[in-house]
Amino acid sequence: MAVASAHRTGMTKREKRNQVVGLLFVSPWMLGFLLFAVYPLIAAVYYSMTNFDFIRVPKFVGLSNYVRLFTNDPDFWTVIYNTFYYVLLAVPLGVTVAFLVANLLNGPIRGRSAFRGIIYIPAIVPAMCTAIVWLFLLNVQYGAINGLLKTLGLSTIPFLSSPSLSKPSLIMIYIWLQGAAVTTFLAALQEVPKSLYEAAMIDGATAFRKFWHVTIPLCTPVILFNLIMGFIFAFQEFTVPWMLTAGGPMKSTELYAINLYRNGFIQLSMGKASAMAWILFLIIMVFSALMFRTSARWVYYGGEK
Amino acid sequence: MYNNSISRRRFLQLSAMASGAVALAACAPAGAPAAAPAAGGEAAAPGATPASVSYWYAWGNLDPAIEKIIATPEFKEHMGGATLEYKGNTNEAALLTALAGGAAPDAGSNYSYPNLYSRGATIPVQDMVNASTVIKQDDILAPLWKSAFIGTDMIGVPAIESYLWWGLNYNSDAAKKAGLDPDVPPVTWDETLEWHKAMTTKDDAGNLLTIGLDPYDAMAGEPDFAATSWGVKWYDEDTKQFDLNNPLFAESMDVMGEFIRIAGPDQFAGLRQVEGQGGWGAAYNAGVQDMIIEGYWHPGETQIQKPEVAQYNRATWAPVPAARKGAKIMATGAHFVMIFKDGKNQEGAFKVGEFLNTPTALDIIFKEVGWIHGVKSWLATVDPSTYPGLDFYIKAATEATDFVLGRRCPIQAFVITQYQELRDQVARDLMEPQAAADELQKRALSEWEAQGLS
Repeated sequence: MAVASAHRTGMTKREKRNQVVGLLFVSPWMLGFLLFAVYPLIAAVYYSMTNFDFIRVPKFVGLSNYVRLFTNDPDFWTVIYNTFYYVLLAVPLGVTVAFLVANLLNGPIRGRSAFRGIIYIPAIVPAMCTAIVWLFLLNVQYGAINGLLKTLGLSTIPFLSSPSLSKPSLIMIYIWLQGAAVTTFLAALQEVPKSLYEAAMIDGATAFRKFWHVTIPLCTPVILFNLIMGFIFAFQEFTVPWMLTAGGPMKSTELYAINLYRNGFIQLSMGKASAMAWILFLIIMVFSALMFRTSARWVYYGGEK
Repeated sequence: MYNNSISRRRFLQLSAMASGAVALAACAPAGAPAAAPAAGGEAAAPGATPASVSYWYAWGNLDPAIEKIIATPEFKEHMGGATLEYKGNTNEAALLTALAGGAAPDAGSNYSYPNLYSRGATIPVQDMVNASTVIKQDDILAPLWKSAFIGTDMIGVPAIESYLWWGLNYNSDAAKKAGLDPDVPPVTWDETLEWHKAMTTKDDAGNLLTIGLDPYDAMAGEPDFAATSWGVKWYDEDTKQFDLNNPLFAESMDVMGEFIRIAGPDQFAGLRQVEGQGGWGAAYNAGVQDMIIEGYWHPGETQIQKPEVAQYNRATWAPVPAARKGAKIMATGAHFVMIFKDGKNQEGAFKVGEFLNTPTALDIIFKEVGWIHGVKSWLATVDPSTYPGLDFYIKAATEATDFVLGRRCPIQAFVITQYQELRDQVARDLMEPQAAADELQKRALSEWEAQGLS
């Protein structure tokens, strides 16, 4: 007797019940996501097309905030330059230094665990504390570094008060904060098969060649991850520059997020600030997309040829 | 057999539903709070005025004074049993967020008053003030009273601290040590520059040790000051016209920039970065800066914060160009208790503002914070020698020749930001003064239009 195999359409009662239960499980997160992520995104699109100062009813102005930013804003292009300068130098340097430090910490050195802990501490110190500490290290009058220089009878270095040194100083602080990247690199280095190093050694590879041809290729997925995360966060950098320099001297450290805050909360141009937020979102999206697109050429995933 | 027990699967399903319901309930907007019974009083009748007043203050200075004020029997009696929910250190970003979210406090102080009023966030108060038995127009310094108005609307209750803004405070001991006569303070910018040169010291390697005057520190950092010193009105609130490209205003950037050139722009910027962490006057208190252009609060605050420096403090008229020698410039502007349009207890908010004009409150504020308020009958009871330098401010009210009301422009914050950048460019010789002034004018006009104020 042939078994009639019924062609079922739709879900069974049990499957429907399971689906409802699943949705209920994720509903708290969904609610938070909708309220605190999706709604602000959509609201920002609306506000970016208005004149809105928190107090009066938003007045629709179309795309004029965007047009004004690109054509008539006194700060926008300065801010774009400052931010790209910071991001394009800080992130690659930060990732490079973190990778090198991780390689050092991966070796058989005495006190390795202690060093790993020390390297990670900056990543967990609140940003405000980081800023205050660095202010009192770098300040030209009272900083510890310049205090030492004065004691030696040398001229002080205006790390944060010279327009030409202020951004490099912020980049230096960014690099100091790469403890989290070091940790991820350490994890990646642990995964590199020792057999590859042994094979390379048998083939007569030097330490540098092992590093270049074995270590780096096998860590490229984590390098990509740290680069993308680094770019995303660096574009939105706010707390440390705001505390240290408030955008000065002479707007040399007026980064994108600082200018956005200034427009929204000090100058009451929340419409313009919302437009800036969306432009930044698009910049980060484009950057991330470019990174992913180019990654096929240089990122090696294990098992691929 | 009939099984009464619940399965693990069913337990998980029910728990998930309950958690979701709790999360949804927690996210629902809170209902209006029930009116709390006033301390020692009966529970409020339904629909009656709330028995609390929420009052937000932008800075933290007033906190010790408020604590003492609300403990006085006079305050309790004045408020009729209503409690004050005071929140200090609440900056304007927090206030704006509350306004946008429909959670405005009842009253607020030390925010950008013209900004908020011109956008409709606060209510005019002249009817309440006219009916008050505590606040009398005749008893308040006339320019202060005038500063409370935009057009014919009184934008807030002048209260807490308001007096005169511009005095050149100097350390007489530092002046003596620099070979200067502290009894003959400078009057013009040229004379002030000579004092600055004498007081500015560097070590052998050229590192800045002390400065005379930071020309853009504290109250001198606002365009009102430079404009008035040079006899210019950069913004006319009646005509809503800007005059930032006036050649005299341009000249001010060049002259004041010279102070920075002498000390070194990078060194100056470094000093300001640390000063910013401690608020105005930190460098003066530290003995690193020997002159500062500040207002009536300077003598009291310095005495409270650093009495060993305050003992040498003296105050005189702010400098003017040589061509205007003899002009005695002064500005004023009230601090207000503003009443928010969306506040729940506007009457209570007014009562708070009223009380902050009484001798009980003003005495406490004077002692705890060092501030004075332009209530003439109360000022007559103040001993000017309490804080060195205070006598200048008390006398200056009747002697000033150029009296202006400060901070009247709705885009003041924007203009100040652009002014800071452009005057720095002039001080570093990166831009000609007139070009900087022209650029400042252009940016101000553009922003005015963009904010829909034209």
